[in-house]
Amino acid sequence: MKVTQRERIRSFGEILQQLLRINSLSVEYRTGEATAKAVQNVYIDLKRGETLGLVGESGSGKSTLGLAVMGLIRPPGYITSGSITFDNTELLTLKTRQLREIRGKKVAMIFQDPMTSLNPVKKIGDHFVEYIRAHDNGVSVQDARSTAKTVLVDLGIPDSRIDDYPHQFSGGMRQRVMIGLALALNPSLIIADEPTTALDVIVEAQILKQLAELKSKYSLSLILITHNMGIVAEMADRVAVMYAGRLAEVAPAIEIFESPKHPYTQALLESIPNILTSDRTLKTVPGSPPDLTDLPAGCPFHPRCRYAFDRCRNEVPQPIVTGNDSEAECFLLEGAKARHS
Amino acid sequence: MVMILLSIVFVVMRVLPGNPVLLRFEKTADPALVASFTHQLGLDKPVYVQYFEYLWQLLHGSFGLSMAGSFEPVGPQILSRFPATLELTIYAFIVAAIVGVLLGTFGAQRPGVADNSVKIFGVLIFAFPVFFLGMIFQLVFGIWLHLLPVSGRLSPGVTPTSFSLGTFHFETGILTLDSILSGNLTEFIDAVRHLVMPATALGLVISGFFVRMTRANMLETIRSDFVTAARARGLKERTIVYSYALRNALLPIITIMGLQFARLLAGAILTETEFNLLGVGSYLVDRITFLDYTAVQGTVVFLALLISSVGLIVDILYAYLDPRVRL
Amino acid sequence: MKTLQKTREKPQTVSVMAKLVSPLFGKGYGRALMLVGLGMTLFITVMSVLAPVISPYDPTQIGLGPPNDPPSAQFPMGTDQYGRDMLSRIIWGGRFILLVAVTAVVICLTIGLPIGLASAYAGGNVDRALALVMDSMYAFPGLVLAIMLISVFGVSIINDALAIAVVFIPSYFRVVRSQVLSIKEMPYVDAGKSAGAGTPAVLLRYIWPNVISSVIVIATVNFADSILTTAGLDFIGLGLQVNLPDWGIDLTYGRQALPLGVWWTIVFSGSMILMAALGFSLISEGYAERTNPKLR
Repeated sequence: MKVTQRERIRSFGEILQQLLRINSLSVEYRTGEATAKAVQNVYIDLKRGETLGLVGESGSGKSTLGLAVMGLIRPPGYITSGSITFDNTELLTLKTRQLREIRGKKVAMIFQDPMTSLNPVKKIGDHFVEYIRAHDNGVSVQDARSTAKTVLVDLGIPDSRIDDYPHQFSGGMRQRVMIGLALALNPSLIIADEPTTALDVIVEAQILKQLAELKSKYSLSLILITHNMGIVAEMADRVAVMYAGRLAEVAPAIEIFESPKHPYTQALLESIPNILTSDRTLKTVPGSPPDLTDLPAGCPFHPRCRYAFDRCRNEVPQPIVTGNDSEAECFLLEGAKARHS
Repeated sequence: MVMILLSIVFVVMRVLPGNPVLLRFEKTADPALVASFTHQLGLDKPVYVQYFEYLWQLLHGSFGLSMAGSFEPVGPQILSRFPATLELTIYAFIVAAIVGVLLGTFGAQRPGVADNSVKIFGVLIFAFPVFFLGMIFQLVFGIWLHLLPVSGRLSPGVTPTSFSLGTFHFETGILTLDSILSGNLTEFIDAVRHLVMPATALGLVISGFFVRMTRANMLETIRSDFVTAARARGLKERTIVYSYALRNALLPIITIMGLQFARLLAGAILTETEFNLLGVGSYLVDRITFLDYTAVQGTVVFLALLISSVGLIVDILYAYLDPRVRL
Repeated sequence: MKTLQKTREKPQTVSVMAKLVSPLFGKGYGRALMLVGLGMTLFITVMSVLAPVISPYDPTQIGLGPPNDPPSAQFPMGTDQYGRDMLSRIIWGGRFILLVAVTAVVICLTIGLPIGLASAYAGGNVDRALALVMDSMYAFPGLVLAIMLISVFGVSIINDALAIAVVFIPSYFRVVRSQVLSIKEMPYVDAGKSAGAGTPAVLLRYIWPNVISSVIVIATVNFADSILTTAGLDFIGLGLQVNLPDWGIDLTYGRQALPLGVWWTIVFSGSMILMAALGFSLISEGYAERTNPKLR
């Protein structure tokens, strides 16, 4: 019988290859009135050099997941259970100082809105210098600046602009600066939270291309958080689909696109307008994402699912193995489970 | 802007009541005396002529002639009292800024009881009548505890000295500065002891404003993307609070500081009266008691000019500090 | 069509009033502030209004007791240097200050509000010119202007109030104007206009409800400010005529007795001024807290 990813016992080689392991992570946001369950019992496995596409609508919990890995969950957000293991180090039990050493140095994050992610009163160069020296104050200002220049040039920004302020750059260039900052200390993992959502399509293509190049050049692992399936198709090795804080489905990219198992994934893919078909109606998913403070009983997707039956309304589905490296949380697949075993 | 202020002042002082000399000398019936006074002060000319003459005089640095007997020019009188006011306001401002920003930052970082206390403190202290606070200080520290002197700028027996090198003489009138420059430690300590209560009283009241503004801005800034991004880069929390959050939060406050300066001056008038400091504020109050209208007018004009200049300096300062405005 | 319009008229006024008062209900810190503030202001108002009834002695009567006598059973707040009962003086002492404050606020509201609304709504050069004038007056300290006016025109409730009002009108103007300007451009106003609403309707239904909550905040701050300014004027000696009881004047008298260790005259009068100003400030703060979108 096939065992789910979190239950599976790994070989030594696999363990060496595993860069990040998020195990049964749950995150809550507690405001005065209510508690929102942003992430529930999520399991993510990431190998070195792998690109994982983390997909979902707004409110699905994907950004929260990214922040959790960075250790950026602050009150009123709380991590209520689970563990995050990075490079064989358990992150959730680290003290702040130790966490700071990893944050920015071994794991870096790129944020969504380049317009607001840089300190408006600091020059670009100073962002780099401060950052580099924060992690290693043996580095002289001169050296830090030359590293900064190298990085900028690598990204297509002339090094003469190192003393300019953020507002003097366009959105695309600012995002490149963000990427540059993320790369400056050679991290092994980059979490990119909707890096191109705020940019126009042409710039988006450039940025993605750059990310892909840098990724192979520096052997990076990448978690690409997005709601755009197109980007995922282009960049991801594996895809994790989130819905209402739970992992609806995880599978290699090809499998997700060719044979999506979870009804939500199917609906997502169906709703992408396809110019090649003759069908002129837009397919949508009826209803709207659930209120995270007031989640429905059972499977969170059942109110909008076309296949929902009784069991879905009462019981929360657990991950079911659907293939070599894939699983999904849906009772429809129980039959498949039986078939595979 | 300045022009508008000046015009308003002029209108009120000259045009509306008609002849200020008459007001002053209502009781005295002697028309000849009144006429000569009026003529000496140039008040018998038509109003618009007076207006322009006044402006002309101003441009030449003259603030008119005092009505109190000897027709001394008002300008130098004001100027001689200015350093005291300057000293008071500067120190009060420093107190206000330090207390305000520190408390505001503290409150913004610790939501809950601490934050609410900070908010309430801000409201409370701003509602405090500044002369009352000064009196409480005088009572507690001066009379009950005998720690600090209750009035004046220097104790009797302490003479102010100032820096001189050969024939070169440099005196600002700011006692704390002069005493340092001339190496007179006794004077310095004495001056400071006299300044502690008034500056702190005034400073605390004004700090209420800074506390609330800093807190509000910090709350907003600390939530912004670039702060989270900076944290994601693993920077120290202290760096983030000061170099990222505070630096950006304080920027908009600087623009409002100009407005607060006016409040500071008003408070200074009251504080000077309370603590018997010979500054421009107490001069104003003084002159009113003597019904010296030209002096009052001159002083008000001076204050208006002062406020406008401070506003201008603040604008320039802001432009310097915010790179977005510079280019 | 007609019936539809009618049914919409009434709920509008009700909902506006409800919106005004609603911050008083519910729970939370803002409400607590407002209640405390209201308590303070009501206490002082009632005390001042009922002064003739509740005051134990005549506040202007000198020689009632030994001068500068500490609080005792006979004179719970002691006596001042003329032997007058402090308690009575305290009870009577707020009237002038409150009257000035009320007058100032009324003047501001009647002048500042309409000018702000009209100017912002009309727009154009008139608006810009007015804004410029208002801005230059905005920073001027009320106390100084009051001093100036009073020195020329003499002391009276109207003069004090006028001086304070003049300096505060720009604040009303600015706040109202910015509110109107921002709402004026919003799409839902255009939507209303295209549905056929005329100018007065637009003003009344869309703009007014939003403006009113800001006005309340400004008005309460105005109250607090006038109280402090009037007290300040009294303190300098530019307040009312000598023989009326007044907290500010008591502070001036009390000051002379300070070196003798006489604390009761100043502490009680000063605290009353503080309470009055604080009361209004708390209402303002609490109201602002409740009506602004909450920051987590």
